[in-house]
Amino acid sequence: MSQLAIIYRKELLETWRNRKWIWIPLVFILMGVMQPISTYFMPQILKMSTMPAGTVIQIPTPSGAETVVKALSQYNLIGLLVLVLAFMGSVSGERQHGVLQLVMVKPVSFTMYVLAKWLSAVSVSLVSLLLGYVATWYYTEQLVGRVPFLRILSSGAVYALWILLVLALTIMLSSLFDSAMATAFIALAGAALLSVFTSLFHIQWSPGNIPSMAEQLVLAGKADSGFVASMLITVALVGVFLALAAWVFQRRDVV
Amino acid sequence: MALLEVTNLAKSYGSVEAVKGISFHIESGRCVSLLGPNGAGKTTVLKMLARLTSPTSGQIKFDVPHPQDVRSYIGYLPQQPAFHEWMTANEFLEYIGRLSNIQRSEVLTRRDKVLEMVGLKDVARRKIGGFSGGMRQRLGIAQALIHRPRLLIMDEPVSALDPVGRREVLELMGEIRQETTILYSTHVLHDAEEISDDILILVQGQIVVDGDLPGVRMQFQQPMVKIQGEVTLEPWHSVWARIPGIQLVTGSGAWVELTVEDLAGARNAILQSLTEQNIPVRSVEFGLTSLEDLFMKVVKS
Repeated sequence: MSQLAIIYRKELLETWRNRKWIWIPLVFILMGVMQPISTYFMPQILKMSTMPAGTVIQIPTPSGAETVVKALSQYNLIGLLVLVLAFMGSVSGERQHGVLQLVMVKPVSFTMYVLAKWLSAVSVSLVSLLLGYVATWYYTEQLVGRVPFLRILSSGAVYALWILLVLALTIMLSSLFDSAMATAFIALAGAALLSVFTSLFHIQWSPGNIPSMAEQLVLAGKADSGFVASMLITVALVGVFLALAAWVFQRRDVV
Repeated sequence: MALLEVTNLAKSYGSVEAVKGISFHIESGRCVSLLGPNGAGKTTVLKMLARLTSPTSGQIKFDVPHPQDVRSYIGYLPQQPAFHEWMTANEFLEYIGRLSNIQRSEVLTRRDKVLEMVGLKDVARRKIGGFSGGMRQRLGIAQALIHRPRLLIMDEPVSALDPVGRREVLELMGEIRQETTILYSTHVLHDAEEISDDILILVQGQIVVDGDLPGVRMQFQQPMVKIQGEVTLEPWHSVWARIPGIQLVTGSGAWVELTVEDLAGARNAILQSLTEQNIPVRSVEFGLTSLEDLFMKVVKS
């Protein structure tokens, strides 16, 4: 078994023992199914609240696809926050704690170490996304309206790429900074800025388009032009971030 | 050729020169202690040898079959070893052993062997989070030995331990030195005298003494007279300082130490001074300076 597999296995064991394998999927499931459930119960909720007599509230009933999109935007807001916070100390934590000394004094490849860290974060995150998204789809079908499952799959796969990118950025920052807070702040600010600039200047090939493309895939079943370009650029950026992470990691003294 | 050859090794942190271009070598099979006061740069030197910190300049050469990644040949015990607290001792040693590119079956036998050696066999299935300081130190030694290193580097292996733990670790080191070369840092001179073959004294980033223990003793040891009085002996310091052959008068209160160049010549003069001046003496001891005296001398100079 290669070093990558050894470290990856240890990471999986660690994320299992510190319950990340339980609470992160739970957060994604809860966040997702909240949307169809609140849509379904909205009329009752409104009825229960005391309104002045004669108030007329007209809310267009959202479609199934719109409900799923709401869940996606929750993932993009709170889900990313949760993932970044969960993995912000991935490298810097081991460095600060001191156990990195015992690991790096053995003939361990810096690249494999960083790669294993990223892969384990990706494993937890994508499983959480999958479970959460499928649960959202199920409740939406049951309570709100039909959404083709193929659209769910394609948009989830596209959105997964965005998560890969954010996690690669997080791991890179974590091997650069000792402060986990700095890592979280810069990773989240970076993702937010990328999205803002992308929509401000209509950069079609930007990775920042991915969340909105995922939404379009749900709503319309197809994405904008620039889809392929932004996918390719995202994959390339993931590679760049990981290579940078290994490079930064190697250049820094372990202690 | 020596197992380890260090040439002009230097490390600066900003404008602070922690290690100022030191050169030394370590022969295979020796137990070498790196002595020095706190802040002398001992830890920095050891971390550079373990490839955890990169030198600002200088060379470190290992005489090993595959010098591309010398980390395979080094076992390292940091001053305060930190582990994955959520792992058991067994799991941690297996993890570290596998990272050293050893086959799984061999790691398992090796793991049991080192655990038995350091006396942690009974707690092998317990979480490291509940280990005491002494157990951590021994687990640290176990992980450093798991891949049969050629050189075992230990940073202050006994400093943080209580007398019992200290004794245990020293005995363990006595066993380990039969199999592998050891380089360890300490500021406890007594330990260095007890188990090392060679000593290196590092003061302010520079090596001031380097040699095998008997040689260093021979070179630096001087005859010395220790006098204890009934009252303070300070008034007579000047009397002794005037005796020819006495190099140094140190001590305070009822104790005084006279470092002597030629004991045969000075012995009578010292004894005479005691009777002539009617000094209330309790004990007089003629002996040799210890490593501690040497250490104090080089650190202060």
